[in-house]
Amino acid sequence: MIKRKNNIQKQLSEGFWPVVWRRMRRNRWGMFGFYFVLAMLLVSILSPLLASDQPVVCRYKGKLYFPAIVEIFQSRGTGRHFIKKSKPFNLPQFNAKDRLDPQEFALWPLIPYGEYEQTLDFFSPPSADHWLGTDELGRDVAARMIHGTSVSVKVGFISMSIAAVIGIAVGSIAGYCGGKIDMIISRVIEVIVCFPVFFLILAIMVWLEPSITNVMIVIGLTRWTSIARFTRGEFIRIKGHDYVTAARALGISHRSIMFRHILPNSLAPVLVSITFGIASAILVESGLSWLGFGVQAPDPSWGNILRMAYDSLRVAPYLVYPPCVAIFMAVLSYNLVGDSLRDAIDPRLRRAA
Amino acid sequence: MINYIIRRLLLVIPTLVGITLVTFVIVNLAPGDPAQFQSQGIMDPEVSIRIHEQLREYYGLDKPIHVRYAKWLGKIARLDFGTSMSSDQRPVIDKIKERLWPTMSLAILSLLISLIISIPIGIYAAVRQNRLFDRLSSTILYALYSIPSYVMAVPLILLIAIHWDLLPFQGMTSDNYDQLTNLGKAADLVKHYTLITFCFTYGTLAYYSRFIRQNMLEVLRQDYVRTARAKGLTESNVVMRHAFRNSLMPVVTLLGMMLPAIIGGSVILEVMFNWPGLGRLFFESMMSRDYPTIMALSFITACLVLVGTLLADLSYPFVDPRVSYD
Repeated sequence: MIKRKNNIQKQLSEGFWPVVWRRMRRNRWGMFGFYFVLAMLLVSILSPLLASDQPVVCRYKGKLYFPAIVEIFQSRGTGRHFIKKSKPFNLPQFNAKDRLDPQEFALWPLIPYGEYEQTLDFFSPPSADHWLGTDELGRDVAARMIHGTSVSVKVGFISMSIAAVIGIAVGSIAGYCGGKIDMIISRVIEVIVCFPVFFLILAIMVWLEPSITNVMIVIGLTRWTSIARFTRGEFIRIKGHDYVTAARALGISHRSIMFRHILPNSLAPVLVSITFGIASAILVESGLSWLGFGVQAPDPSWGNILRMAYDSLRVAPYLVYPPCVAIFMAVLSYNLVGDSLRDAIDPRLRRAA
Repeated sequence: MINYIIRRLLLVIPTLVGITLVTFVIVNLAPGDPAQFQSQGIMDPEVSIRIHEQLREYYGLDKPIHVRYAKWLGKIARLDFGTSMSSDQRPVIDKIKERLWPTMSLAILSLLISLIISIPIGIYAAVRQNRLFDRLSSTILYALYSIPSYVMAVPLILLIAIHWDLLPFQGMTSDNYDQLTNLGKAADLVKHYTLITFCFTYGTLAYYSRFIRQNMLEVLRQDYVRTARAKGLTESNVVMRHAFRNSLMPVVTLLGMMLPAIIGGSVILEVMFNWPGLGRLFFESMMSRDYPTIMALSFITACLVLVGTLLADLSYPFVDPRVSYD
């Protein structure tokens, strides 16, 4: 008996998420979007290695330094305590480009300019030196674009995390409790939806310091309505399933039913809505930065690079294209990922609009 | 049907109350006393104190919050939004009135144009599913739909307005508008409308076309379409009279939903095109911290959107007679 038992192969059926992933893999455009999102993530993490006014590796006065690598940790705000840039690389006035002797060497990043570094070529068109040209302060646009990526990535993920927490909490309460609570929450959502996105966000931004943190918080606090609606719909659908009734009959607490039994099964459509939400958050951030209420002047963001390009349209038309292409590609990628995710989760829901 | 209309209208009341509440809360969330906030920065102390007193009186800041809310509601019911805090000191309602038409005309124009173009595209693509036209239009429309309007606008301005110098992109009329003949005036307006209308329209157009195609595809698979074909009706008759009419219902819902998107998108585009509409007024009042105007604009745009959704809901029974709400 025991021997036979051992021979039985355990046949686990494929889980839900592996199935979704397998279906997504088949969608070429969706994977393109997915890889572009990954690339954005990498660029934003490794931006000092791609564009910096400090070398990646360099030998200076007989010692080896890794200033750009240290910058990765420093600019993420994590390593300030345990990795310090050694002198003279931590001094703002130090310029590695002309302080090196012939016997010393330096390995430079792809784009050897920092995002704040001002050169003397104002408005120089794209060239071998400055791949995307320079702006009115002589800053290298390619370097600024690369460092601006992290703003879009951060805004997308952090603001949508805030929105997801609020939306899922509100939506699940509305869907699970039903009745009066549901009615009140639905009314609240209807009221918020009535305010055009930009008007609501700008009206709140009047009172706040324009900064990326505030932008992320305000986007998160205002863009949760569609997530809440999806969660509510899923909760109402799943609430009627037998296993929920069984769980209740077993005396499991409401909180546990909501978060451990229903929520995991309702996450898929919510995830689709979050993906589209990231695209719209990136859009709102660039728009706010364009208007001057987002990321502030010396810090680069795609929105304020576009603003600078708009302000110098007649002088430097080539400045327009990099931020436009970048914003378009980011939004397109998230839309593609969202669409392919939706198709993969439920093939019956083919691409609606 | 009258029953339904009355019920739907009654549902508007709590939403309207909610809109006033949100607007009021945003006012009162402001750190400190809004009167002080606005009167600071005025150099002359005498003027500053006077304005501060005026503002305190306008907001009734010495009273408890629910009294203030009630008073504010009363004022809004009489369309009294106070006077603007910017240098011109005009009643807010007048400022909004003169800015309403440029934005609304754009919104209506772009909705009409996108409907007129997207319906044939959507139907044709659905009828010839997976043929060349369908594939081509799907790809192009998807790309168009993903291009944010202001991202599209800047290169367009660069190429059409600056590089080729074909169309103007600043404002609604040229400087010499008053000296033009009537025909010249019309031509001038059309020229100024062209670029901004395109930027307002193409996104909606792409969205509608994809949406209509999708709905048509669903309807075309229905049994009654097969029946119509079996009866020997001409293809155009099947598509237009049997299929298309039944795919209209979700489109009507969309019409109501598109209004907030268009008005919300108006801020950046109107600033970009220097268009004298609500969006730019909103931006200007933000820059000058013109507080009564911001409140009034938030309230009025929210109400416009509410009316849009309401109209869409009310038109259901007309589009689809099966819908009855008892």
